[in-house]
Amino acid sequence: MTFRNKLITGFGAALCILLLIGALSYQRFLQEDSDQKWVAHTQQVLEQLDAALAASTQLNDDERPFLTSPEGTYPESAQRGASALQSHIAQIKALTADNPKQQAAQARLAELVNARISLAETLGTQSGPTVTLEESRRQLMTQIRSVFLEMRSEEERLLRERLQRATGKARQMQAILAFGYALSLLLLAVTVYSILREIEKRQHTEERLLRAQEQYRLLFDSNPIPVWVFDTETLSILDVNATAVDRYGYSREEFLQSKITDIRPQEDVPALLADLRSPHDPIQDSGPWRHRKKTGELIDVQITSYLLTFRGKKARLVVATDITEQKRATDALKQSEEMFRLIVSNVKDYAIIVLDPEGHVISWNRGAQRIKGYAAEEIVGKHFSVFYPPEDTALGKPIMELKSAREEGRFEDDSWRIRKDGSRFWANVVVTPLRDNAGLLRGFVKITRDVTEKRKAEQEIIQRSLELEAANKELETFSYSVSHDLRAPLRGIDGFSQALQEDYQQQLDSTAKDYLQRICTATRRMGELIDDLLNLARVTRAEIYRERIDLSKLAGEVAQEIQSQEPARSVALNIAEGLEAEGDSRLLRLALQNLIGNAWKFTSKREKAQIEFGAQGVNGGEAYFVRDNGAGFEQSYASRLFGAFQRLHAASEFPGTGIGLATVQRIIRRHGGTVWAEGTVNQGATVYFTLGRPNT
Amino acid sequence: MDDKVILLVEDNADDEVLTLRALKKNNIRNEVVIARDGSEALDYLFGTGAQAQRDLTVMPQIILLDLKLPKVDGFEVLHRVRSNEATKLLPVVILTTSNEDQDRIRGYGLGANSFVRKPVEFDKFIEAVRQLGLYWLILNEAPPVPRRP
Repeated sequence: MTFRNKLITGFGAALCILLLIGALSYQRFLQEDSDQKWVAHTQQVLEQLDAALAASTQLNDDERPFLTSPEGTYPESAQRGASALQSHIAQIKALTADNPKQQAAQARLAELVNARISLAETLGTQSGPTVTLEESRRQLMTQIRSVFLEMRSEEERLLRERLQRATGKARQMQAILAFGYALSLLLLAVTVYSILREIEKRQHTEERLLRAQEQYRLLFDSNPIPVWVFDTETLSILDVNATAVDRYGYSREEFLQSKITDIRPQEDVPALLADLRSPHDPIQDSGPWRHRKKTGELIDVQITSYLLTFRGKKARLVVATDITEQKRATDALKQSEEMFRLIVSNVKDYAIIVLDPEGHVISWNRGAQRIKGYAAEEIVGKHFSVFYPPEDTALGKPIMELKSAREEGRFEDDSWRIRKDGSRFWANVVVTPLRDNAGLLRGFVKITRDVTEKRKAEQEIIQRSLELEAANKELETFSYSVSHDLRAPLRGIDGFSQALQEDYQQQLDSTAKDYLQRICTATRRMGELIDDLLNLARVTRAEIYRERIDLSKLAGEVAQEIQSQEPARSVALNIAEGLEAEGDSRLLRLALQNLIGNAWKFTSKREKAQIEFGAQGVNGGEAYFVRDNGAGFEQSYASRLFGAFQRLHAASEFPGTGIGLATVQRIIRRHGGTVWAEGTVNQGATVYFTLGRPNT
Repeated sequence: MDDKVILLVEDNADDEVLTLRALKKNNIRNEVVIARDGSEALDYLFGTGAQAQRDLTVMPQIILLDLKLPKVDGFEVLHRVRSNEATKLLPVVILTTSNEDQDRIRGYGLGANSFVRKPVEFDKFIEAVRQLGLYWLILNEAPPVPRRP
């Protein structure tokens, strides 16, 4: 039942009950009035009866003196009493007109009264009483009294009855009233209660509505995602949230004056209209779409829309999620994947093969085709063990490799593989397991390189270095035995020649002595040659220990040594200060010994010999030099200076083995440097050298 | 000075003659015991083999030891000398033709007292022998000869 019906029913019922009660009350009021009248009437009858009885008694009393003393006249008072009695009787008659029973009694009374009065009249006319009269009078009186009593009791009964009836009706009325009022009160209470309930309910609803509205506003406005509502008919934007205003750059007012087509790039509008015409679900996801910001910047959005009624219009609420970054990332990923795929498939130097977890070929690149000879369609789906030599397959090597890769995360191997044509190649293979995010094995990547040539080259290098090592060893052994065995006989030759000269001086003529002297000279020269050759060999095979060297100091020491061997000579030494270099001090000392030694030697014929050690910039680097003003040489022979046993001067003029500069060159080269010489005959020579890799 | 024995361990007969001549020219008149290979040297030093009857209280004042020797080479001799109680303190001068680094390192490593390279030129050789004699036979005080148990 609706609240309204409830209200009508409640109040209506209460009203009806009250009306009914009113009607009943009115009726009762009328009834009670008549009842009262009847009660009054009865009381009037009773009064008249009492008065009539009193009058009849009075009559008797008034008559009594007359009766006792029947002289005189009939008392006047008795006469008046009789007529009063008659008038009472007449009144009674009138009063009891409504009651036939009382009328009958009254008639009887009237008869008796009349009889009494006639008796009185009779008495009056008679003189003196008679016994008969007396008796009649007494009888009549008794009869009258009894009729009176009869009537009186009848009236009293009537009065009781009427009073009783009135009381009963009043009680009934009371009950009805009480019940009616109670019922209507209850109804009213119920109705009022339901009104209160309804008011409360409405208040609640109103509050909820208000809250919902607030929440909606809050959700709408503080939603971090742009949201708007548009009229599906006119496409006008009806509401827009703060985020949309913030993100799109249009003011709220601008939005509300726009249609949704206004925030799209012009070229997308037809597609949008087509989309809007197509049937829509109440909740629909669509996109990606492009939206245009006020600045003209385009963004990619994903749209979710809800059908709703907004301010009485059919509308859609649109939630636009900016997916520009996401789309960019996805595009980039796509691009990078495509790039990656292109790279892999186009790599020619490496066979990049993807295997499934069991080892069947899934993908095959150009490198694989080039190296192994199979085209992709020939090999995809086949097991990768076809690339292995039968003996390896028999040993279960392919499966072991996958197992190893699976367990270790990587497997690498260098071994033989078979091409499609059956030929073998030496392969470097790296197998890596491919696992998804859950760690599940999805397959393997196998990268194979044909390193046959590399292996050949490596083997050659190994062979070469073994040979070189052997050669070095041999050279070492050779030098060692040269050092020991070649010199010993020389000492014998020299010693015994000298012994001859000494012990047989008398027997030898001057020619013999000269020959012996020549033997000694030759022997010594041989000794020097051997020593120089050994030095050269030593320089060749010595290891280089690079360290920071004070070259100026080293040159000074070397010069001093040489000077001390020939204290008589006076040479102007000019050694530049502070020259430093990285190198092997022992070898560089040997080089300087040779260079300064040469300068010393070739200036031996100069009166004012000058030797200079210094440095100068050459080709961006620093070249050290040893310069003298000695014999010099012809520049055209400069290149021959550094060959072993190459001499530009007669041994008689300047002694020497011709190995010194060869040794210098070897030392400089071993330092990564170069050495060259400039000279002019009789004017001096300059030998330059650089030391490679400075400060490394 | 005469009672101090020189032990010359030298396989080259020429060098032996020249060494003796150099000693003579320097007026070094000490007894020179010559061992022509390593095993002879060891026999002499330890009274074994041909030298079984030798009086071992006499020990050389100086051992001039060549390195390249038949049978037992100089290094081995040096090693045995240094390993034996009776000989471990004896002065040993390596007198050899080479001056290879490796030989010097090994020689000093085994406990040589000196390392002298024989010059090719005889007069220089004489000079070297003179200095050796002067130093080891006159200037230097040898360790006392240990008593044999």
